[in-house]
Amino acid sequence: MSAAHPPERDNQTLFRLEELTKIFGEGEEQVTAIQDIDLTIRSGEIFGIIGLSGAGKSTLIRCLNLLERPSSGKVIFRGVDLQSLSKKELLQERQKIGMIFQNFNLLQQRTALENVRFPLEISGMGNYRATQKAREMLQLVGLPEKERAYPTELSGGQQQRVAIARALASEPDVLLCDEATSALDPATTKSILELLKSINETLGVTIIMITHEMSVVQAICNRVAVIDTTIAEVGDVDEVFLRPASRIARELIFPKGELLERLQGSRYLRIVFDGTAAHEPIIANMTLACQTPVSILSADSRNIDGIAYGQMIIQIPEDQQETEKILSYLTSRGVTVEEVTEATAQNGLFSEEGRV
Amino acid sequence: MDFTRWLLVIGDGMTQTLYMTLVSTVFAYLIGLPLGVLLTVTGPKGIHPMPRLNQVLGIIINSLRSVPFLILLVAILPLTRRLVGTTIGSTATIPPLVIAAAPFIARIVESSLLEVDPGLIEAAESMGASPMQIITKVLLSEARSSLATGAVIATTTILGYSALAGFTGGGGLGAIAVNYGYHRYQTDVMLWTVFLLIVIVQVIQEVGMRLSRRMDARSKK
Repeated sequence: MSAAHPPERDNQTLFRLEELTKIFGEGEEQVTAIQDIDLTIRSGEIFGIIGLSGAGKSTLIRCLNLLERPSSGKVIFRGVDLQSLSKKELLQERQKIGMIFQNFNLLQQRTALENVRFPLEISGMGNYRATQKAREMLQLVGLPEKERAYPTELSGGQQQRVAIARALASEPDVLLCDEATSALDPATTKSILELLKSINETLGVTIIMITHEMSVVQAICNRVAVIDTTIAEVGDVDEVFLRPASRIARELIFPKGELLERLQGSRYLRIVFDGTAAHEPIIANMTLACQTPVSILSADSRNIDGIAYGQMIIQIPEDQQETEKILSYLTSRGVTVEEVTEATAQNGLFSEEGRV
Repeated sequence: MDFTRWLLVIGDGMTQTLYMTLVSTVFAYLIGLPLGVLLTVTGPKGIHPMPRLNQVLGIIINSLRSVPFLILLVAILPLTRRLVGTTIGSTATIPPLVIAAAPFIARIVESSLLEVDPGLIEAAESMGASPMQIITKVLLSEARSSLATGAVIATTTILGYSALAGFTGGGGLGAIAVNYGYHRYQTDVMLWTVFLLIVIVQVIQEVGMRLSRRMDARSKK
């Protein structure tokens, strides 16, 4: 039960999805949430499912424990077709599939300890053992001192920790994470992701997480599926990031993807606003004056008393003359400009959490 | 009327009023609570949607609630006689009170249960909870404070109805108000009974709401 590299440890298939399709509504109002999803998730890996909102991520993850019944296709969990199970057998199987949610979904009338005990009560575990186990789980997520606290007395991050303890109490093989960090601030997100990663490493629990944030996938996932109703692409996270093959993946990785394509072979400038610039909309005036299209790749600036502070990375066409024109215009307006490489420009993008 | 007799009459009326109200509330909840749960569970967003059953239940409940209590009281006299052997007195008031209050309680219970965050139900389902476990451990347990508030409203409403039964031979403070105040023009007696009814409602309301708040872990912050 310990290994540093989950995928190597065990290549056993945990989930296999075959032509999974879910259609909501009927007739005219029919909406296809997911279509023909084929996916294999291996035991021990951290698998990310990313997509824009409305791409069918939530539907897909709910099909994994049949909270949502697929319209067609199969969900095979540890070799068992979940849809072939009786109601009772399905309830048993679900105890092996833990789940956490964006809004934590803790029972408000139960203390942290009672929340963690909940799945154990459901499975009929004796009182004493359930309490012991629940205590162990709270210890695992680092909240042993909060066992008597009610959810309203806990911060978002603490609530999610309790939810994780609760989901792990019945010793599941897999933990489904439904936008588990989307309601949390960046620092808390980081600590929750670290916890998930360590759970994956120490307990060997497979983790499947859906998210719309690239940074989440980058932080802990081994493999990723990019979905947009259908699967756009699947692969190792590094591979997909370096060479996104699908349009949707590029859109998620480079939010201004289309512009990037149009301005292929372009150059990058970093503009620093240090407060000395004139009181005017510089970029807009520059495009007007130079008659050149530019694209803002990232910006981190704030306006204090009408004066801009901060920096911005823009993309300009390759043409030398155009570049000269832009450089001289910007310098004349009192801002600091330097040309940067594509890599630096992209890095500037990625270093800005939430803007990606 | 001398003072001691007057006290006896009023005391007896209070006892009867409390007896009718409490017994009726208990029986009405025995019917109304499961009905409310059934309404929620079989509803369009329930854990076990059954549109047809839900619709039929809804129509029955709405119909019963539409019948004015005084008419219901008279209409079910034969049933009352069969159930309790008489059509006058406090005990005879209980069957119509239960029949009038149960559908009302079903709706109150339904609205309390609908307030429970669907996310909690989803979480319980994801853990493999059975529908029965969801009803007891999630729906009823999470909604307990709201259910208690509902019970306060139900009890005070039943108290009001019980007073109305005084017109058709029921007992309690309502009967005293009708017999002495209305038929014998003893306005002071009528005012006293009204005053006592107000006090009873206040006490139920105050105690009930305090219990409701104490039950709610969310208020512990």
